[in-house]
Amino acid sequence: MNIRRLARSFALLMACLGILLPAVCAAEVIAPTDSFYVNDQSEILSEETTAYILDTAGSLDDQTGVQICVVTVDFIGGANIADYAYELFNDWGIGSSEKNNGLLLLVVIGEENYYLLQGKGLESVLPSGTLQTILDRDMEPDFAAENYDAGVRKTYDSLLAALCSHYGVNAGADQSGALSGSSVQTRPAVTTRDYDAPGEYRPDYGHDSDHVSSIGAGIRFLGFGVLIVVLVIFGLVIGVIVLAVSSVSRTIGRGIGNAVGGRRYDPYRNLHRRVPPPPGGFGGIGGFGHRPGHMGGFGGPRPGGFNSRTSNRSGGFSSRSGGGFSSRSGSGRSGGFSGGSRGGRSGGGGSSRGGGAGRR
Amino acid sequence: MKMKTGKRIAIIVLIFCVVISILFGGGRKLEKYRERQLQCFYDGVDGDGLCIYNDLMMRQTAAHNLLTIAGRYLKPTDEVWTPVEKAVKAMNAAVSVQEYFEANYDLTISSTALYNTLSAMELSEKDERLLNEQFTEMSSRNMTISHDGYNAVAAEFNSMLADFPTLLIAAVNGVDRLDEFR
Repeated sequence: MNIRRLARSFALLMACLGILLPAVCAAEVIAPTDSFYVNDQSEILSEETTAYILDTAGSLDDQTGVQICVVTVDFIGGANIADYAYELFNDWGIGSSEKNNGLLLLVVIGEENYYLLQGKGLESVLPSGTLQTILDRDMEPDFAAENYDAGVRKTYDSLLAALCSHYGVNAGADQSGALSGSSVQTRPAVTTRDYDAPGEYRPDYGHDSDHVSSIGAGIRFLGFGVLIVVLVIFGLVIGVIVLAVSSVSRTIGRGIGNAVGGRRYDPYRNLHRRVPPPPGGFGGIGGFGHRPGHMGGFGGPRPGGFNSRTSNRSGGFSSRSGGGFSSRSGSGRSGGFSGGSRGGRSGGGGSSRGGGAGRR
Repeated sequence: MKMKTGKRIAIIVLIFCVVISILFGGGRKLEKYRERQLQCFYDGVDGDGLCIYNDLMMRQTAAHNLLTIAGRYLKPTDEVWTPVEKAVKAMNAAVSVQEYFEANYDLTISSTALYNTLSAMELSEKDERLLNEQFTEMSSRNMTISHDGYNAVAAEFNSMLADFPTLLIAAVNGVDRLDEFR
């Protein structure tokens, strides 16, 4: 009885945690659907619009690798919409990995906001300023009137027309109504010539390099003082090493000499030299003399010679499987959002550097 | 005896030469490595030209375009005009990464003030569209700059520079830290 009650309480607790935890945790980037191009979580798009987007986006993707994704959500957990769009874009990998030619239209109904983000390969084809114009003209009027489906449709048509024009393909875009009066021709990125802007740019890296090297020359001069100190310290260290090496080599050399029978170690050799010869009257008994046959404590051949050991080390660096860095798709991501599972059609691995345009 | 002394001198000279070659040879390589890392600021981490420098130049262009639009409604002596002009010139004259950062910061502040002033005025439809386009371009470029990988590259280089013996080689050869764009 008690166990049953306990089990029931535990199950209730787990259920509560299951409900509460998602609210407590940070906002997650939503996962793409099987169709990939549309994720209408807020259910603001009509079936006709959804089918149209899926059809034309798929056609464009097949022909050019460009992927346009339309995502609608209610809320993004208080996150900045530009950051959310950036994370979502790179998590889904919208656009091809070679050309990075993806486009994301994100609509957040609950926050009455929207955002349009291009992949880094489309920054010159559809600059953020152009995206802003598209949004201001095609999205905003209908969005303000809460006619979300119409706003998304018009915006999507403008984007599709611009990309089809750029790539010279026909993805089956609807040329009637939706585009009239609102189509935006593909325009080149604004350059200085458009506004008579003078100004000299400095693309030559060498200019900066010269500046750096002149500063470096001064620092090098100071570095000589440091160099002298370093050399003195090294000299002392070298002197100690040399002395140690020479004393060891001397000792080992004597041992080898005795082993080959050249010179025999005579511990009394020095004494033998220092003691003056006895006077002639006493004869040559002498307390100190050569001791024949003495081999000495340090000489003689030794099995193995010098430090001969068989070494079974496999090398200084062990091989490791796997790398120390986790692999990521996309570039320049800052983390903070976790991705969901995917199935069906998926992104081409494209990435975005951020930027884009949103509701003013 | 003479041979012993000669051997010792030879060993000392050899070690001295090795040390000098490590210090100066290593210094040259470190300098070249620094230049390659700094190049990420001008060419991008992937070497594809999508870099902070390019974004800054686009911002400078957009700011100048804002001034062109402003010229139809404001005077060059207006208080919101001069700071933008100064910031554009400062960006033009910038050489180091730190100077680019400061010029960009000033440009952001001044151009936002100019945009707000112009937005509150009665502009033609064309100018309103152009104004929003240019300001969006500027804001967008700031966002791409914030995601650029150059700062990570610079931080990694500076971290390596702080370790021994790289620190010693850098000090002897006058190899500086890389400025981060912040």
